[in-house]
Amino acid sequence: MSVATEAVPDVQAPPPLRKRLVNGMRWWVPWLFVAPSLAGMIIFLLVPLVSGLLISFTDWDVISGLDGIRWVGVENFTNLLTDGKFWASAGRTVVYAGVSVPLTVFLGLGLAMALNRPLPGRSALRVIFFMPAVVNVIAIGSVWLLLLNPESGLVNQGLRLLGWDSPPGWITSPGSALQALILMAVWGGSGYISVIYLAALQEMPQDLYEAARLDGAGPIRQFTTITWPALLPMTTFLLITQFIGRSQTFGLIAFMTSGGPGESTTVLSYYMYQNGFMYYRFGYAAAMGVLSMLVVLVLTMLLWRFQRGRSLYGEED
Amino acid sequence: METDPQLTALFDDRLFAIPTVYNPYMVYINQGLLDKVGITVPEDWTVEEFHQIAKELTGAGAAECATYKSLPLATMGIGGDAQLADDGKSSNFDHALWKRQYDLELAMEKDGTLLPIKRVLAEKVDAYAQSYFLSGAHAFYLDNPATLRFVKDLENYPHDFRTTFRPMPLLERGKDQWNSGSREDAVQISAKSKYPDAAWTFVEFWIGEGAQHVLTAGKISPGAVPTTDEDAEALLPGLLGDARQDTFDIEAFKTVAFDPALKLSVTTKTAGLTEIATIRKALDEKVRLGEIPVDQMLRDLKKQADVAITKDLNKS
Repeated sequence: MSVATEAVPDVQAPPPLRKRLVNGMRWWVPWLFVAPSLAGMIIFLLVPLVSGLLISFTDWDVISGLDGIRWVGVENFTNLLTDGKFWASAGRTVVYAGVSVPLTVFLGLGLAMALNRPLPGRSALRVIFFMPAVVNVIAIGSVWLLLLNPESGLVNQGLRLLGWDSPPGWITSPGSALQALILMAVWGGSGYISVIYLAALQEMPQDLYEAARLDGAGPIRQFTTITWPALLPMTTFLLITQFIGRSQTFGLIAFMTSGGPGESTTVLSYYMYQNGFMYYRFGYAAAMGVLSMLVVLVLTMLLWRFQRGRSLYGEED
Repeated sequence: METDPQLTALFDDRLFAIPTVYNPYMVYINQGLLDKVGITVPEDWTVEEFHQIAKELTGAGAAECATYKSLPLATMGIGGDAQLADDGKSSNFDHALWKRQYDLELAMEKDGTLLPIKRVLAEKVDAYAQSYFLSGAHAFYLDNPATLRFVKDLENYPHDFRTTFRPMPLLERGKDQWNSGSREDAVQISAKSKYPDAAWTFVEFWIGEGAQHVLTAGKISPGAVPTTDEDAEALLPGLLGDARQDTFDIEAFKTVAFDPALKLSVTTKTAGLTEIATIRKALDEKVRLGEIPVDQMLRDLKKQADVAITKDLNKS
């Protein structure tokens, strides 16, 4: 029996809609989609960055308007080199960020590991630890002012109960004011860090731990060979972003100490504020900003290079 | 005719700004504490008597401290330009009155007549410290008439003592001196303004007919400073409030605030002043905390202030 076959016309199937759209698209259409983000970057990042760089080579005081801009070359930078207050404030910034950031990150890691275990009221604890990250800095500062009052504050009352007869004066003493700010920074930041670590810990492949346990690895060995290497890229990221953030701390210091007592808490950001917004030396303040940005950039690159090849998954960059 | 710019605010016979407030400095005193200890404060008290009375009030336990602020002796002796040398190109902190001022402040810090700097820092006391005075903790409060608004506000600052007033103490009895207050809140009309006439009309209103609207805040227009008792009485309802008979020693207020002999100064040399204020604050804290002695403080202050002035002058 013969079967009559109908001839199929030689017509190609139409390309999918997406392909048709892409092929027919004008060159500028993709730019439309990225335009909002691009505009934001240009307006809020590129323009201030380039402007700041240009201003650092001038003696602009803002109040004279654009007519008052005078090009001074590298004078602001050479003046910075001999400005003792600049170097002192830079030193305080390094101490403040260099001590508070590792403490914050590692305390956050400890909290995350504790909260990663089955605990009664675990959700409530997570909320409590995260709360400082969402509370207004003035509210935080006001509470700490009460806590750190050398006479009536709970902190010193507690220390006296523990037998410390002459506890620190905290923000009332040049010797302990920066320590008080470090304490507050660690308290305020570790909850936020713990939430980030917690998310990473909950994504950890459990089969690695099971295999390690079968091989007889204890909790410390499991941490040093699995948890820590797996968290290293995130830890590096947190150290870098926290260091950048801490080196720019302003609000808390402005509210709590205004750079004092004496100049004991005048960190770089506050010294920049004084020069820019109190003395109207915007060129000089911008030069400080440029110099500190370069230092933070170098530190970031060093830290990033340090962690390469040390993570669990052997990431190279 | 007076030619000192500190008094006239005229520079080369030209006026650059118009003050809108007459702000003499005076000492507010808790009359109840004086009565308790049996002290009478003379009208022409000296700096030394101020300190002595402060010690008696705190020593007797009547007041926790005598005052939040010490006396600005240099301004009282030299005027509004006390911080800068006559040529305006360097600082004036090597003047003997600055040493006297900081020696007095440190002595008051040490003997407890001044609110201790540790409490100032811990309690974040800044420009406004009227709560200490109105709660009865401090005997004196040094300020201009702006504080009247708090004294008469019995709802937010309930107190049952009467407030009396004395002039700023004398550096030396029988000698002329400046009042550390000033004619302030100066207003300027921009040279680029498109509406200078309208701006002038507003300024005229502000210091003239409109001044009555800010009187309740303790703001006395320089154009309304009374010269007769009748004029002074007319200002009292606005300045001192309805309960003034119970709250204030009215006669003392009129005598002190409207003394025609008061010399209010204007700051005419301004190079580096903002930075000098920051430097002074930092060094003052160090002195009061016992970190450095007064002599070193003044040397550092002179050195740093000179740099600040030079920077400012070079810029302009």
